[in-house]
Formats: sequence, structure tokens, C-alpha cells
Amino acid sequence: MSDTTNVTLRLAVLAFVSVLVQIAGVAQVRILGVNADLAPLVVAAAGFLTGALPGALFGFGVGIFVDLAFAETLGISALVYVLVGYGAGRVRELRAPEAPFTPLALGAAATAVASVGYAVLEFALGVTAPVSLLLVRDILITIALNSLIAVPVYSLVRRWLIPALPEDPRRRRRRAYTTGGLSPLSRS
Amino acid sequence: MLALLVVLSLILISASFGGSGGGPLHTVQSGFLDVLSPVETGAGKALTPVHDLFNWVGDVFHAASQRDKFRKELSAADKKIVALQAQQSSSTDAARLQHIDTTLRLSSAATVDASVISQPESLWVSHVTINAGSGAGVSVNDPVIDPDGLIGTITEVAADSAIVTLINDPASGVAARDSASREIGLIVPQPGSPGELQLLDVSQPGEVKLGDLVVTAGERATAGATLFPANILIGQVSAVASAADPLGTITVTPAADLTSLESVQVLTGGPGS
Repeated sequence: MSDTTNVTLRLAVLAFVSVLVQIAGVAQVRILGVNADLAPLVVAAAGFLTGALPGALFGFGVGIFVDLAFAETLGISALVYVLVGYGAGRVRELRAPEAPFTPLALGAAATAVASVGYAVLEFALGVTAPVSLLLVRDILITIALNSLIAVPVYSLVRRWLIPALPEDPRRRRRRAYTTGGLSPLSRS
Repeated sequence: MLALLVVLSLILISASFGGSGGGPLHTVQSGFLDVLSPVETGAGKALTPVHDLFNWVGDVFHAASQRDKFRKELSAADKKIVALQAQQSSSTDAARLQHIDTTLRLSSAATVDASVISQPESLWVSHVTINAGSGAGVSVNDPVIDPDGLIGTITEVAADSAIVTLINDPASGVAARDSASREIGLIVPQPGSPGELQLLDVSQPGEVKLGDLVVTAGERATAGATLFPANILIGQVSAVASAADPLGTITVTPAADLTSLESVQVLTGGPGS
């Protein structure tokens, strides 16, 4: 099985499982009146690990799943998560951040983009909900909750996808240093 | 590719948003829901304890915030009740004082309404401070009453306040009359019992009966003493002289609660001033 097929399969499984977990588990537990939202975290993590275009495709798939599962207007979540997945991939391609808090910041940013983007699209489609402090509060609490679980979600996604991803040259170089094979220190 | 996905999403949104309830997209959506709903139901049941736990935590915080809110409301309501009760008490006292004034035929110009601003600090202290003084026309030796009856005499006057020496003070003496028998005597404090008074110097103590009302006689007790208007209630006979008592001591319980005075009236225009 080629790497591309392997990654595609793993992403498909990841999308299905994450939406299922969201429906069956996370959506059942409300904290301070809102739910955590796994979808933007998983899409952002996958986009960050696989790149902009795979991230966008994955986001589209997850978005369709979410819209189907939650009986939303089909396409809204897809559009939002396309942007989230693509954006996360572009961040990796342009900046390649390696700070320990990167997953947390990535999760918070993805949740913010998804929440605000979803709200904007709903308003654009004529939903007559009032823009109130309650909405802002809910968005902020969702971002905070997602930030709390962003790191473990990123770790799980990474653990699931890493075996299928082409090896990162930087990771290979670090491993070589630690095992002694190519380290300049070992030659001295 | 990105543009394609965005356009595809927009097409889906348009189709889904503008389509009728029975369109193919809705059919797909409802089919998907049919598949997922059992999973959702099962998971919901399985996760009920977790769900309840989080709800419980949320309820605790909610209850705490509600408790704080209700405490504030209760505190505000208590303050309102206290203010209303004070207002009601003040109105009641004013009406009763007015009644006394009418009974004694005192004109409003001859009376000064005042509030007690300093209560007796102990059982053995027998004077209070009121918030009316010489500025309001109060003078030394003016009689002072409250809605229940006589309470004392003005003994010191400042511009905005005055000290009232109560009728249970050892230096006090009020010429009194038993309203039933018309026997006259002198009201003085009962030694060793600051809450009680004695009616002394009664010529025929046997005429005084238990429960008789004792009022001011309208005479001076001693030369230079306060002349109280007649018929102000002082108290009620609570013990009569026994045959074995050569002094014929008669105990009188004051009509006014001398330990808890609020609204009083100074009789400035009376014969005692």
C-alpha cells in the first residue's frame, strides 16, 4: 500500500472516529453550558501534520460528516473546516513552529476561526439569532475548553498519522544525533 | 484545489439552504441520521453517569451563584422590612402621643417631639439623651412622656439635645394619684429594683387596689420640683401594702418601658416649664 493511500485511509478513519466520538461522547457532556468541539482540533492537527492541501481535503470531509451528523445546513462546516485545515497546513509550511505550546495555540486559533466563521456564515444565511454577550461568552468558553484538550488531541492525531507520513528530515536528523550514527560529536 | 473545495462547499450550502425539505441532500442527511441516531442513543445512555457528574458540578456552581443572589435579595428585603417597621412604629408612636396631647388638652405649640439618641447603658443608669434641646424650646424641668405614659424630667439642656432623668432615678419624685381611689402619694424608685416604682405617703393605703392605674396628681412633689400636668399615666399597681407592713408600701410597675424608649414628647408649654 502506497504512502498516499495509507495516509488517506488513516485520515478517513480519523474523520469518522472523531465525528463519532464528538457525537457519542463529547457532545453529551456540557461544561458551563457549552460542549468542547473536537472537529476543529482534529482538522487543525491533521492539517498541521500533513500539509495545507491534505488538511483542506480532510477539513472538507470532516465538515460534511459534521453537517450530516448534526443535521446542519450542508456545506457550512465543510467550508469552515476547509479553511481551518488549509490554514493549519500553511502555518506549518511557512513557519514550522516547534514551540511546546504550538498545539495549544493551534487548537485555540482553530477553534476561534471555526466558531466565528460558523457564526458569520449562519448570520450571512439569515439566521435571526441576536448577537449577544451570550454568544460571545459561549465562543470564548468553547475556545478555552478546546485549548485544554488541544494538546492531548494533537498527540493522539500525531500518533495515529505519523506512521503513514513521509519522515520529516528534521526529525530524522534529531534521531541520528541521539543514536550516535551521524552525530558530528561521535566522530571526535 | 482549495478553490474547488470552497466552491463545492458553497454549492452544497446553496443547494441545502435553498432546497426543499424532500430534496436529495435532505434524504442523504436523514439517512445518515438514521444510521447515527442509535449510536448516539447508546452512547448517551452509556455516558449518563459522566454526563450527570458534569451536570452535578455545573449545578453546584449554579446553586452557589443562586445562593449568593438570593442572599443579596434577602438582605435588601430585610432592610426594606426594617425601614417599614421603623416607619410604622414611628407613626404608631406619633398617633398615641397625639392622643395623649388631646386628652391632656395640650396644644401642639406646647410640645416638642423628639427621639431618644442614647439609651440607658445599664439597669442602674436612669437617664437618656434626646435629640431636642434649647433650640427647640426645651428647658430644664420640662416633663417628658412617651406613648405609654410619663417617663421623666429634663435635667440638662444643650442646644440640640437634652438629658432626661427618668422616673426611676433615685433623685426623682412625682406627686401621683391612684385614679380609682383618688389617694395621693409620691412616686419614687423601688430600692434594689430599678424596674419598679413605689407609691409612698399614701394616707389610706388600704384603699389602693391591685391593678389600679396611677397618674400624675398635678401637684409639686417638693418645693422647686417639676410640676407635671395632671392625669398623665405613670403605671399600674402591681403589689399592695400588706397588713404587716407598717410603711404601707405600694409597688407600681411603670407604664412606659424605661429600658427601651424611642419616640418621646417634651411638654414645654405645661405648668412645669
